[in-house]
Amino acid sequence: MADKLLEIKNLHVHYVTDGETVRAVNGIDLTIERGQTLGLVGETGAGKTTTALSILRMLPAYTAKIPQGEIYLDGNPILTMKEKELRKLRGSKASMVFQDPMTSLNPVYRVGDQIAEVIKLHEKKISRDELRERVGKILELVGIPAFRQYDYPHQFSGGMKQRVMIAIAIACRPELLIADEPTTALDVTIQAQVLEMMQDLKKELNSSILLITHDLGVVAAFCDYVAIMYAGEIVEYGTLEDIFDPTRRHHPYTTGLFGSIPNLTEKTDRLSPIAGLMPDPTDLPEGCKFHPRCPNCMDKCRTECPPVYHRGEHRIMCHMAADWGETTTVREEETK
Amino acid sequence: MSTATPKKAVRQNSQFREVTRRLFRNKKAIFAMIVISLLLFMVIFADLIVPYSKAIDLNIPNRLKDPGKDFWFGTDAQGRDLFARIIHGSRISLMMGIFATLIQATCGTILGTTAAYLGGKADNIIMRILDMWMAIPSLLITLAIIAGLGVGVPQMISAIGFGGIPCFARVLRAAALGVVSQEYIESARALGASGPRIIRKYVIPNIVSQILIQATVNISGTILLGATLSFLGLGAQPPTPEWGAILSQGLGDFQYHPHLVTIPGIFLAITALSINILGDALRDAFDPKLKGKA
Repeated sequence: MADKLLEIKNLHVHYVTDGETVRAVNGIDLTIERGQTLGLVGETGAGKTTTALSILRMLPAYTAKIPQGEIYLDGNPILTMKEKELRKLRGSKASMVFQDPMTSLNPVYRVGDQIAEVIKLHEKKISRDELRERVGKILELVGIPAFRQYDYPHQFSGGMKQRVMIAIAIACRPELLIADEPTTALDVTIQAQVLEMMQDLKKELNSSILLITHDLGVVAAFCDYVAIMYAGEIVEYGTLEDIFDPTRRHHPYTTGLFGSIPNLTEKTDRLSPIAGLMPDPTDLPEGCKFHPRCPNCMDKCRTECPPVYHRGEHRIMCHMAADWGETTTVREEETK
Repeated sequence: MSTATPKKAVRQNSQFREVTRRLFRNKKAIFAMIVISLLLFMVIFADLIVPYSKAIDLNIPNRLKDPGKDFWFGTDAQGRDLFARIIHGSRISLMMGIFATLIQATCGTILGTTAAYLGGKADNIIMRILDMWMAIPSLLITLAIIAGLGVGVPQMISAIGFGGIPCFARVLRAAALGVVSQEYIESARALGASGPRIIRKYVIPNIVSQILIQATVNISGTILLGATLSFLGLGAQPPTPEWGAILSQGLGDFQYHPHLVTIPGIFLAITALSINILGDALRDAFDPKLKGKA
């Protein structure tokens, strides 16, 4: 089980535009093991999508810079690979499901041809009939009748398009499936269907999933591990229980996130959202990046960036967790 | 949507069907298509309508006849039947328009979509070169190429084709820019498709309508430019019949025999007009905003 499929080490991603540098991702460490699901949670602009795109090295070529960091996908150094080698991995080893199913399918090709396209890209020799059959099977896997492979994307509903997207993504049985807010554009009932289907697929294909979302409910239903992202940093990481158990210690941001969700058992008139806004990524605050919004802000927080404290697998990046004692970050482990 | 939707009903919803349906509802478009079909018929069966020899053999006794029973369109200063010359001239005029446009469309599409897909520096380099190219008036660039390659129909076709590439590339770059920012392009990259493959299978099929519209409108301009060059004596050489050349040769006798100029002129005008109308109609038919209305 302890087989690391994806390893991200101290990744930094900056977007450089005219005179401004947007620091989107600031030194994150992540690992995903085979067969695991990791939920990456955070506000809009926390750097979730940037992280996901960098795993396949799909960041915009002219503005995104990666000054530091390493990414290994099943041992392959993604950031230093040749484009041609990388193309072989994309789609077969790791593939991605995008946020908006409405615009993610090519409108001028039949759905079946688009699924076949991926298979043809990665497996050169395959006969037409075999291809048709496989496309049909994949569609049925995601709950769409095989004969609908002859339809065009506009003939599908949003939820079905997202299923088709997933079908395309899994057509070559990738070991890692990156799902960037796969259910955001869907309504709740379809959301449940899509998630359930992804869960089944995960079991069937034994692949790992990186699920990017800002919906904690989805995370609770679906993930083994959770990483909470804020301003380009992972402020808290742990197993599902670590994060969702309110009696355990949390990063104040995580506490704030949970405070913003209505609770069935408590009667409140108002939710308690986190005060303030995400910091401007071109001008991040000194010290802890969360301190301007933190209810427990101390003097130390304003000047000193907290290290990552951890107990077992549970990691928190906050001065409040200092009594956990173990301050070794993954980075320091490296140098040992 | 019921699960038992027959495949046939589904096929009818394809974009192509929809476009042709809208095209055939447009009366002007039908008129234009009829005229263009007649012209194409003329081009293809020119030899069956009237032998080529009639268009080039001198027939001095019959020179400068006005249109009448024997010579429908009259005869020119050398006594050649103008009707035969117009019919056979359509071949060169239309072929010139079509082939030059083909050159423009092929090169323009490749350059435009590549620039749009690559973006950044590559886009800048391609587009600035095209800008420089465009800064030279197209007639001038065509004349310069003809001066280099020599006078003749194939030279003229390549010259016109070459001169029109930047304009085509610009329009298609603009169209492709809208496509490359779509998520399905990103998705295709995430699935391991290479750049050329994305351009071929994702970008170009999505801008086919713009290519078609641009090409149609372009054909009429190209025909006129070709006629202009022949008129100036740089295209088809006498005695080869070509509308521009016929017009130019008739100019000397214009005062007393106006049919020598008006008839080829009318043919040129009608051809250009119908192709333009068809281009406009195609644009309307492809425009999704008019879906269900037009």
